[in-house]
Amino acid sequence: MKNYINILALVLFSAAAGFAQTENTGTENVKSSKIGWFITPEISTMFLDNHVGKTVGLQMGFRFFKDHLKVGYFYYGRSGGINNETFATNLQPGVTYKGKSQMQLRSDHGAFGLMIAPSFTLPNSKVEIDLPIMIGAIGAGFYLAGDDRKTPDGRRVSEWENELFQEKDAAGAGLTEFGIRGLFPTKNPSVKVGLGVHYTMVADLKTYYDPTGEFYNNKLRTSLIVQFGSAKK
Amino acid sequence: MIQTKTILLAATALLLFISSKNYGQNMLDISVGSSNSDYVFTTLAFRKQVSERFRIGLEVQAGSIRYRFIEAKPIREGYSTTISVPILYKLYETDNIRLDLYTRVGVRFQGVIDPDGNDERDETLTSTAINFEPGLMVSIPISEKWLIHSGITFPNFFELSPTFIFENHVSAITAGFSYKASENKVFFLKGLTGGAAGADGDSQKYSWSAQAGVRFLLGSKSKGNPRVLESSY
Repeated sequence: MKNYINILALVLFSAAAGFAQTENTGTENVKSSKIGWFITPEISTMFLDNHVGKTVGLQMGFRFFKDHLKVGYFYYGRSGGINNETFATNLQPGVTYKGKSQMQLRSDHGAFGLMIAPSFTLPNSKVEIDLPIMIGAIGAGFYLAGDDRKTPDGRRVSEWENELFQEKDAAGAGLTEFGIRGLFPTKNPSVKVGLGVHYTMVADLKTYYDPTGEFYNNKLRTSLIVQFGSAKK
Repeated sequence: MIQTKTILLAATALLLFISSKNYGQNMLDISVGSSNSDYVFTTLAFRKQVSERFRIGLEVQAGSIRYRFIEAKPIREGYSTTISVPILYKLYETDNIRLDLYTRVGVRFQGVIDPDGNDERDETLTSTAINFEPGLMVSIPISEKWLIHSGITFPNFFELSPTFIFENHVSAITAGFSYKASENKVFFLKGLTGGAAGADGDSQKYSWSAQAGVRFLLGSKSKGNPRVLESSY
């Protein structure tokens, strides 16, 4: 699902960004447009219970009303590949996997959706403040790691995970996030560097490891971004 | 055998492409890199700047497998070859920033000898997949010679055989730079990283790739900017 949304967002973005561009002669020749665009690679840290999660993400979209409103697509993911923490998980009574009744699972997550960010420039300053509101979905799970991914019977590891964790190794849920970011100018007017703080709410993401659904709920996240985009005219 | 045929086919196509009537500047890229999928991979690419906005290429990449998948089960040795057609289309440009729509479509062949691990070459497991990777590339000119790159891409892999599986979707951010060392030579370094998902969680959960190379500029000059880079998975 997410991949189709990614591609749709990208197609819409490209069409509009191309529409906003005029004939190029290699100089500052962009007509005064009411719509601007932005692309924002992001890394962030999630302050979860007892550990800090690391994420890689992105945003892309448009700026309206003289850059006072950003609307776009966001994604960020806390991937297992860059998060080494493991979570001790007891299997059901009488169930073992490779002779073990307790597994050390890794976790991963991906969040995506719509970002709406009112923004303004601080008086007597070029520092931009934006207030990103992110509304979307999250998919997250806990999975067998390391040598445990080599299954004893050659079946796919997801089949084993489904059986061991009663089809609750992963789940999806709605996500809402409120944040504030400061974007600092660079020598290039089309490039800004930003820092942000976000408060994340996740509704009812219940898994075998976390039946309370609180693993990602009501958590803080800090972000470091580089925003590329059309410069304010 | 399949790999040999593939490489011969790609080489023939590349030669035909190179010898075709030249309306714009041609580029030949040679690079080497590493990724979470391959210990080492090498890339040979021919690109044609068809117009000031539009560039198309033919790229062959071959790697020694670190961690890849066939039928959503990991393989840790064997070969991988991808033949793809990357396309760049300029959407927006000022003196400070350039934005390109980037798309890559291709076919990936993988194989592992002795998949059952009995130390006898009595069996070969192969797979064929298609990849589709849309993205947006940002280029920031630093000087006449230097260009910094960033962007976002969404590589997708669909295994066609031996089993149809939506193998992987990556949401990646990219970074790199290019340096025009002379009138006919550009050095570059580029990489990408981002969260991945697919195959019910059985395939890559995180992807990274980095490569360094040189671009030779062939034929007559055109209006296109040869320092602008394609992403590379």
